[in-house]
Amino acid sequence: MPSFRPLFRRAASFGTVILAVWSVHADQPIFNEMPRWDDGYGAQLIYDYRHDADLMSGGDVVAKGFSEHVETLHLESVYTWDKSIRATVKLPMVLDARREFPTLDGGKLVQHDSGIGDATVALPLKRYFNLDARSGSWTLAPQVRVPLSSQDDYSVYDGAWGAGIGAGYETETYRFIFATSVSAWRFEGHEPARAAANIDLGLNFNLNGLTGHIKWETDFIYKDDGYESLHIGPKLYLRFTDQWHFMTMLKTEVHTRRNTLDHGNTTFARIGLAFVN
Amino acid sequence: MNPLSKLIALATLLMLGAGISFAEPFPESTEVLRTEAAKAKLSAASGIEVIYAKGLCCPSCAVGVRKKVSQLDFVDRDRFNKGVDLDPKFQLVSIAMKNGRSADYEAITQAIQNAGYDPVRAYHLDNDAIATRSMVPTSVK
Repeated sequence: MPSFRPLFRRAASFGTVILAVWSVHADQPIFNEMPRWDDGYGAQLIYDYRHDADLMSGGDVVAKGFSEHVETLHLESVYTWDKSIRATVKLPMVLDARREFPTLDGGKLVQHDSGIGDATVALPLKRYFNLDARSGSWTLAPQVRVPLSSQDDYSVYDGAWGAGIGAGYETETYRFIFATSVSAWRFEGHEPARAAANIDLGLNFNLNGLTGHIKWETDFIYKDDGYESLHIGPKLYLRFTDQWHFMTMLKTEVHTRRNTLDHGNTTFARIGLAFVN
Repeated sequence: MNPLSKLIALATLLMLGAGISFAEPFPESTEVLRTEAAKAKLSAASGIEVIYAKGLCCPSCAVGVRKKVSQLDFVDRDRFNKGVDLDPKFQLVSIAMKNGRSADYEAITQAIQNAGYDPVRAYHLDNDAIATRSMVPTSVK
């Protein structure tokens, strides 16, 4: 693969130009569900595991088996003043991150990262509607990313200020759920702007009092350096009690394009527990 | 699509299919069905109020109704779940009343609205016939 040698050289020399992609996830606590009531509050803990199988450039795998894996713990909280306005804070902690690059002498360069990530503060504005046997909401969510992470050769989070805006629509009946949203982010420094869109379809269930839903989620991310990612997968949500809630999801990348040398062919899993009151 | 993607897609389709297949045949709630359900609840338990709350379809989002209504001083928190039973299938809220206490409909209306839903009417049994009382506040009629 001689044509990719300059890319490898650049990657080895300027590791920080290659940035993680899911450092800003669009979901809002609590699990995009609650609290809908005045003076409601909650917190959730989400364990996130991401595995990028290969090193890619454009739509091509240039170094198979040179992987990246990132384990992150997200601490997220929400407060709802009334049903139309709430504030959310998301703070990630990288438990362990490791990525591999081929070196020019045929070896393998391994980099590690851990520590606190960049926080995201959002002010979702909601307009709920109640219809006969159906309910839903429109959402506008201005967001700010606050740099808290330290920077070195390999940093999962970018340590840069960012500003984002999201808009969404969701509706639900006793049986079905539909949700869609779009968002856009700009960051200071060298990090490219990004846009994202998602569509979720789901079914509610009630198993002897254990209620929840299963959703099929489809997410698309585009960055203005030409990066594209389409990932899909199921999400399971369970309500144990009025206060305690559980979520797990598994997604995989079905369309990948990296215009810089970067890891791709991604699978990620999340599991979370939440308290709300 | 890689093999894992195919597996996830297949598993999800199977789960969605199973959910649809095993789901109880159920037309989205009509007023006729809702009234029948309210009558059954009123016949099965004494000292309760049954309210139609428009939009109350999601059992998770609706827990705020229990939180707000259960704080009202005439609610018997020892019955149902903290005095409140939620029925998202018919969008009905059943409220257990303390002995000798009557409902303050204005307070119930306010509590349900603060939880994000629109109370429409309360159901009563009048000699085994169902009767209703409007709960829509004048300001939003």
